[in-house]
Amino acid sequence: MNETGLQLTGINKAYRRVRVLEDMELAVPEGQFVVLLGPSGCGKSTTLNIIGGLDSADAGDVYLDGKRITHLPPHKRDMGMVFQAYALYPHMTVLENMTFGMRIRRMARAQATRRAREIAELLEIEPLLKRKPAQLSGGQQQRVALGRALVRRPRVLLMDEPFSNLDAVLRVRMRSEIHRLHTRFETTTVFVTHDQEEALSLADQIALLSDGRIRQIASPTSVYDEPADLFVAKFVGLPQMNLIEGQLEGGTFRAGPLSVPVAASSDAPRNVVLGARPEALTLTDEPAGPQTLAGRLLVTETIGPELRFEIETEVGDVTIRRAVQGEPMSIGEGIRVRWPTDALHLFAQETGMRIPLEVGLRSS
Amino acid sequence: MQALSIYSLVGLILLWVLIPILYIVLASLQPEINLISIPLKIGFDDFGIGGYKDAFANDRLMDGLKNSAIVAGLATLIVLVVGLSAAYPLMRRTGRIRWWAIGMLATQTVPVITLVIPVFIVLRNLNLLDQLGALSLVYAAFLLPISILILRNFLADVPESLERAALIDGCTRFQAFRRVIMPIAAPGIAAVAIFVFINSWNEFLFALVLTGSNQTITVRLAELQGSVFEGLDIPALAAATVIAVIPVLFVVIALHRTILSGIIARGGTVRG
Ligand SMILES: Nc1ncnc2c1ncn2[C@@H]1O[C@H](COP(=O)(O)OP(=O)(O)O)[C@@H](O)[C@H]1O
Ligand SMILES: [Mg+2]
Repeated sequence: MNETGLQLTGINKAYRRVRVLEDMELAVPEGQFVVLLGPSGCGKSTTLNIIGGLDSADAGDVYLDGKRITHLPPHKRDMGMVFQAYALYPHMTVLENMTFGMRIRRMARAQATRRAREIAELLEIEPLLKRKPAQLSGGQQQRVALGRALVRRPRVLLMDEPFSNLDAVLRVRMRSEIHRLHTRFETTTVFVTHDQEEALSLADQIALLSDGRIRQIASPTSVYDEPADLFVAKFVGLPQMNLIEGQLEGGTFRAGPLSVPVAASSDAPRNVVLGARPEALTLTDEPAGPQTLAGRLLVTETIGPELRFEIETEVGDVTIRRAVQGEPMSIGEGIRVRWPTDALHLFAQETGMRIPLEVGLRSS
Repeated sequence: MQALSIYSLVGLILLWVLIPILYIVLASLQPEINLISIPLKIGFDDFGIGGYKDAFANDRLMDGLKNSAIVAGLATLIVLVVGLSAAYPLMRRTGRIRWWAIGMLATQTVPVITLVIPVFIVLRNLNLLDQLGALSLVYAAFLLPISILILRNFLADVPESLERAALIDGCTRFQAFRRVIMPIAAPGIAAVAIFVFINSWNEFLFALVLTGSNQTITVRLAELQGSVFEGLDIPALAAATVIAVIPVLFVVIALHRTILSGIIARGGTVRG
């Protein structure tokens, strides 16, 4: 372990009989913004608490810059944390909240105050410095909590669903704010969320957590374009990726009337799942062929400039997403869906793992 | 209409509580002749502070006040230090059946009167009779179980995330307790302090049995009442009673702001 940044190795954690983390591995390179994404209750907060020293793992180690910090108490770890419910000290003013950590570490009052003012200015909370948290709105408390975590210039910044108590508009604004701050300070950051949109927009790397393990850690585009397994494929992307179970026969995927050529290697398993994102499918007027699927329109939805169709087909319901254009269609109408030959995903039914497809047939 | 009836009810209860106190205050300001005449005569026209002069001149009374202050102050200190130390490890214990709470409440079912003789014997054997410190220890022992439970609940009300924030900010566990948890739980701690102080100040039975020369104010007041027929004036006795209440009043006044301020701060964010 001599890399810089943060590493978790072989982390196991159980509460009574509930196993939360199982041999979890995670590496956060220096200066990166890693988003830990996963459904509620999958152990994201537990992971963050283990990193921060607020909780201890049953087995496994935490390293910072190659140094083992597994058993270091939180006050010796030099990390900052933003909590979901902000956790501002109610008996202190905003300024005191922000200087508290520095004062505890015996920094001179004048210097601590100067630093707090700098950050307050950056976060546009300077006029609030004399107020108590009870006199702030949720959005303002959020900023103060962020300021408190940043002002100490911690070695690692941890954020546990920091925006989940904000309304949608504020959430998007804070997102770009965080982005700006990270560009400026380049603090190694682990950001926890169950909101994929937040993850896709913020992360350098997304780490997908489920069933106690990191399922994939990759850039947002890779996670979206090359999900490592069925879980990731289902969890990332809205609406969900279309997945159809079928058989692989000599370079062709078959399910009912559908047959699509796929460039899988010859040792790929026979029972597979074919995936296509809703934007990869198209509606077609062409007569039925092997790559088209006849169906019946179940639902249409217009979301701003985007149109979504739910279509019932012989091999299951599929979703299509595209820009609003042309004549509106009526529910129940007969419709044909065309499957592309690129932008497809293939997974093994048995293991759920991605089966790589030959380059050239896959778009990016 | 409903408000009116509630206010009259409150008024009645207040009157019920206050009449004896009012009577004592008035009596302390009367010339003695009014209080021993039949029928009793209490008037506003011949107020005097003679009773207070006599009471303040009484060395045994003043000494009793001092002893009470020492005993009640010490007992309060012990209960807060020991009580908070005990409440801290209990504050995150939220099991459905709380054996520790049941245990501590069980101690309260023993009638205190049955403990007078045993405690006397123990202190005598330890050579601790007539020691103010020992008396305060006895009070602390009696008041601790209930105080621990109350303190524990006030500490448990402080959200765990605040403690976590403090630890991350660089506090040791003790610093997090001292700088974040305690100030936020201050109203509850103040309430317990008042509770212990008043109970220790007003206690009579153990004070009478366990002390000889270092008696507390309650014992000295009783002694004064016993000597009324030997010539001590009633206004002085009433004045002494009023004087004995004043320190308690001070403690309440000193701490009530803490209690109120906490309630207000809490309404803001801690619960939110
Ligand atoms: N202190 C605890 N005691 C018992 N179970 C816990 C405790 N903390 C978390 N858990 C359980 O561990 C699992 C993971 O929790 P958590 O890390 O908070 O998930 P997430 O943050 O991803 O929603 C959940 O099933 C939760 O019920
Ligand atoms: Mg969580």
